[in-house]
Amino acid sequence: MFDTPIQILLNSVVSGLILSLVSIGFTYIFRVTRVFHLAHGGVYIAGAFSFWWIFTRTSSWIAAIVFAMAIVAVLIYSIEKIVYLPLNRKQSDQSISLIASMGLYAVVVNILALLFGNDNKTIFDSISGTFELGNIIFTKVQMLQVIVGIFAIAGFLIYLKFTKSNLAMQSVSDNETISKAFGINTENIRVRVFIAGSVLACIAAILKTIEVGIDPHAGMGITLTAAVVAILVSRLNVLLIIAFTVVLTLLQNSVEWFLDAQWRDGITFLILLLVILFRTEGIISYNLRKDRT
Amino acid sequence: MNYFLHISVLLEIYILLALSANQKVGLSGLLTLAQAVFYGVGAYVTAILITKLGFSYWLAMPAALLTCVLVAFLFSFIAGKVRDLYFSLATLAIQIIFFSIVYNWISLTNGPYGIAGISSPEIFGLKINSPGSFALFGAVWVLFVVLFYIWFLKTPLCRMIQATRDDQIAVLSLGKNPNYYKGVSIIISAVIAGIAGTLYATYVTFIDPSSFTLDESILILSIVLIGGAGGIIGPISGALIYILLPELLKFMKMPDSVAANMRMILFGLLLVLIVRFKPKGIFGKYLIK
Repeated sequence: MFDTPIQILLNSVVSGLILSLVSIGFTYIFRVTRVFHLAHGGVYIAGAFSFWWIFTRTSSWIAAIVFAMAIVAVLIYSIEKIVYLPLNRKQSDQSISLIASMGLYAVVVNILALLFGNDNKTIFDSISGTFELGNIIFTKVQMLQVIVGIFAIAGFLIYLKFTKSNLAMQSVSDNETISKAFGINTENIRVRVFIAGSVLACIAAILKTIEVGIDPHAGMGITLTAAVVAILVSRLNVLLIIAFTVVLTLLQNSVEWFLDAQWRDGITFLILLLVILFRTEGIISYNLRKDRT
Repeated sequence: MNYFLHISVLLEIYILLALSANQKVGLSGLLTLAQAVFYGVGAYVTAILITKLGFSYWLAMPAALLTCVLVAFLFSFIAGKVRDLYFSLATLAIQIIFFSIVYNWISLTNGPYGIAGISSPEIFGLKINSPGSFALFGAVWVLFVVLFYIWFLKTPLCRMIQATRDDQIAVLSLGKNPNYYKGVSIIISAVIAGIAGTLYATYVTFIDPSSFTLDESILILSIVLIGGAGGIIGPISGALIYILLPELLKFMKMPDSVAANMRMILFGLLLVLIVRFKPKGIFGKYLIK
């Protein structure tokens, strides 16, 4: 009787964990650099295709993963230096970086579509097999996704802790000019947050490619869901971002199961619209501010 | 010849869409990601009234435009509540909600299967169903809208709309309500996009949700930004670039499969370059900061 809800819950936790890698990156980039980085979807796809391309030629997991991460890091570094940073120096409005980001997304995705085609690419000898508990099924790929996802998030938290990046990022997020006055190299922080966020997205892209494959247009939907989380949370708090992403994924999967797959985006963005209109500061942010005063 | 006329009709539809988006982006400074919603409402209401209730185009069109005005009130409410990036994000949300509704409300919109058999307009018993007659019909609408703008851009109302865009507090200090001017601007924009929708539905005689997606809204916005916002020439030249670019690629013997992606690469690249080096767009009057 409870098999279906438990299965939905289980799948939502796993896919929510993968999506939270994208959400963490998007939220940190948005809050620190103020760039509404829709091209995050393009970076995600670039990581996935780089992984697929090397893996199908060498069958080497390590070579494919290292290559994908290198491509993603070079791509986002170039984007930041050539496009976003000059706009930031000109103190352009957030809407301008949004437009630039849409243009970048179109360029990256269509170049990949030209190079690899518009069809879905899969990895044939990817991990197969399942664990079954009654009617509840847990695949080996899901197991891999959970383990790698947890390690990736732990790695990001360790990076924030031991490099004291979190404090610097919080500071730049609150006020970039004052951060500069206090000696923080804000341009360096921007590059670091872009690369860290993109590497997390790349890990998510690889894990998703192993499971269902990849096509050039898969990045936008994932990025928009991550963007919804970034607006809802509005704080640089990894655990909150994960919690919100998992809850949102659970809601989307429930809508898909009980209503129709096509309603999931409608419901997700209805929540976004209501939050923007009635709690622009995000769902939890106001209470946190109140507690501090 | 027919192909040339077909391209002309498409160009006219995109000129109307670009001028409608320019009303919001260029004159009101409201960066919208949902212009395809008004385009879609115009097209769907026309299609439903013609195919299900047997309306003529001349009855369906005013009803479609009235529906666009009603939807515009929702956008006006949002423009009164939030600004800048958050307005753009709210419109993005509405765009996706609109697509979900059109896609899922099968009893009304026929969902992904679309609505076929939309009859063409008639004038004095003459059916406008050939590419030539439709190109002429579209040209009349474009001329009407362009003449409207030549007049409108000089009116005190338009100056107040531009003043609201440039300095909302100054407008408030004059005792005027900025939300009123934003609302008027959004309604004008909705009506023009609605006209484009009614033209599109009756020209292709079949519509489905894939014509009114977020991608379409981004494209309309890009056309305005590349051509230049704030005037009349900018949006028209943006539409020209968008429609004529694939023809140029075909002239360079590029296969269709490559040309589609190449057009989006060039368009994306142009968008980035414009934002980076020429924020006014090619022929724009309003500097996007």
